[in-house]
Formats: sequence, C-alpha cells, structure tokens
Amino acid sequence: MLYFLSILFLFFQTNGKINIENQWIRNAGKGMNTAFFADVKNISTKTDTLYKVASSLARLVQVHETYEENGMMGMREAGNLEIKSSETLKLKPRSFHVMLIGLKKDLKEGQIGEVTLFFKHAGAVKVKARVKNMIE
Amino acid sequence: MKYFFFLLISLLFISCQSKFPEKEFVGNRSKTLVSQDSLTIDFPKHYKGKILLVSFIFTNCPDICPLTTHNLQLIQKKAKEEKIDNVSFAAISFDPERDTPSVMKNFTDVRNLDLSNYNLFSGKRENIKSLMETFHIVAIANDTTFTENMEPVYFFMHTDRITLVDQDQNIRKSYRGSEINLEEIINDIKNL
Ligand SMILES: [Cu+2]
Repeated sequence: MLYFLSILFLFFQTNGKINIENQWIRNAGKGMNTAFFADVKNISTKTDTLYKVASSLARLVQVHETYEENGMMGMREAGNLEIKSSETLKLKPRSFHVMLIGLKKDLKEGQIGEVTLFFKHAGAVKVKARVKNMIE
Repeated sequence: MKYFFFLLISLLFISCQSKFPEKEFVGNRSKTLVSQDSLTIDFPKHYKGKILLVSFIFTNCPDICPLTTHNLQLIQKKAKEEKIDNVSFAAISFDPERDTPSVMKNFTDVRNLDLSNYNLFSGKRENIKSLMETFHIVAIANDTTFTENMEPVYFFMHTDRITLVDQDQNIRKSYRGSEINLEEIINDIKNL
C-alpha cells in the first residue's frame, strides 16, 4: 500500500489549491544544467502566481522560457507566471520550464529529485519527480 | 501555346516535388575535430561515402540541444530497425572551451548514446567557427546570471537545426533539430 502510494506520488501531487501532474526531470551529469517539467493546475477559485522555485539539486534554480527569435532558439528567465482558476500551466520542452543550473550530482534515469514551487496564494508545493531521458 | 503552359506547369510541379532543396558541396571545407573518445578526425571528410546527419549543440544546454541529440538517437534507432547502415550521426559543440572530450563523454554516458555510428565533437575555436559558417549555424553567447559563488552562467541563442549531408558531401536538406518528422527524415535517407 505504501509502495503504491509512493508510486502514485510520482505522478500526481496536490496541496488542495495546486495540482502537479506528469512531472519529470531530464537526466544530466553533475555540473551541467537541466530542467524540471510538469502540468501545474490551479484547482482553487482564485488566480494564482508562480513566483519562485527552489531545489537542492542545483546551485541556481529559475523559472525559464525557451523562445524563438530570428529562426534561433534561446532561453530567458520568465518572471512571475499567472495561472487562472482551473487553468493549467504547462512546463514542457521548448516552452516554460524550471531551470536547474549547475547540478550538484549526476541525475540518472530512474532517480527521484525534489523541486519546490512557490505560489502567491497556494504557498509552497513540494514536488517529487522521476528523472527521465525524454517523454516517449 | 497550350503545350507551353502545360510544360511550364509540369516543370513547376516537378521542381516543387524535389525532395532535396539544397545541393552545396562542403567536402573541401574540412576541419580537424576531436571526439568524446579523444579521437581526431577531419570533418566532414571522415564521412565521405556515408550519409551524415549533423547538428551543432552545447552540452550545458538544458532544453533544445538534448531534444536534438535525442532526435538524432531516434533517427539512429529507426535507421537500424530499417537496416539502413550507410548513415552516421554527429553533434558538434559550439562551446568547445567547456565541452572537452571528458565532458562530452559524460554526456554520452548519462544519455546512453549508442556510439557505434554517433559521435560528439569538439575542437579548436577557429575550426568550430569555420564549420559553423560552412553549415550556416549561428550561436550567440549571452551572459545571463551568476550563481551564489558568483560563477557566471551563460547560455547560447542558437540555430536549431539538423543538416543532411549526402555520400558526396553535399548539404542536401535542413530540418529543425528539436522537433522532427521521423518518417520524412528516414525517407530522405532512403532516397539518397
Ligand atoms: Cu532554461
């Protein structure tokens, strides 16, 4: 039962105001950079704002967005991200992501990492996520 | 007159259908590169007689480049399944100061790359620069932030591309790197 619950935990986490689903972290070596992805659903009745992220996995953690300009791809800090009631913010490849800069150790496929998302209303939401190579 | 138009339209139709929009010889613009296993080769001359899919990346890239190197893995896997054996894969770093052979080796380990016909390359800055021009790749470093220890963190704004080179070392087609149509690329390889 405990095992089942802990498995479930890896696919879905909630604090009653924010649901986190389909979370994963891309594998990368120590010292490198990588990203955390998830579907962040606001299940409260108020608009909420993701304003900060944290994780002990990396030396620097930021909300980023990948963007296209003049046929080139770049990345920048995203600032605060608003999520309206019952809407979902998708942190996904080629788009918004939680950027983990300077990994303190290797993140290999199958390992579990923890990231905390901070919301203005919902507060802190701790998320455990599995390390994967890529969503298939 | 009627026939003239018919001919014109057929010609237009044929040219639009051409699978390979480009034909640019790059075999005479080779430069020395070093692989994740510290092997030195002349690129792209080393691949003469083979079909080559090449992309330019940096291993510190968190989003676009891992998608591209993964897409090369997907093409590699599919090509193997279809018993296509005259194709090779290369990912060249435009961040050679940081992407030393050992850093690249760690990248290939962590991502389980099948190195039988897929290599990462780095090299002297001037060689990389020259190959980037040859393959029409632009990468601009931007100083974004600093860590707590005040180490600078920089990323690149860069071209997102996989280039197809034929057996005679002509660039024949370019695809987006981070998002691909696997069938299209496999068909193109078969048609060379
Ligand atoms: Cu980023």
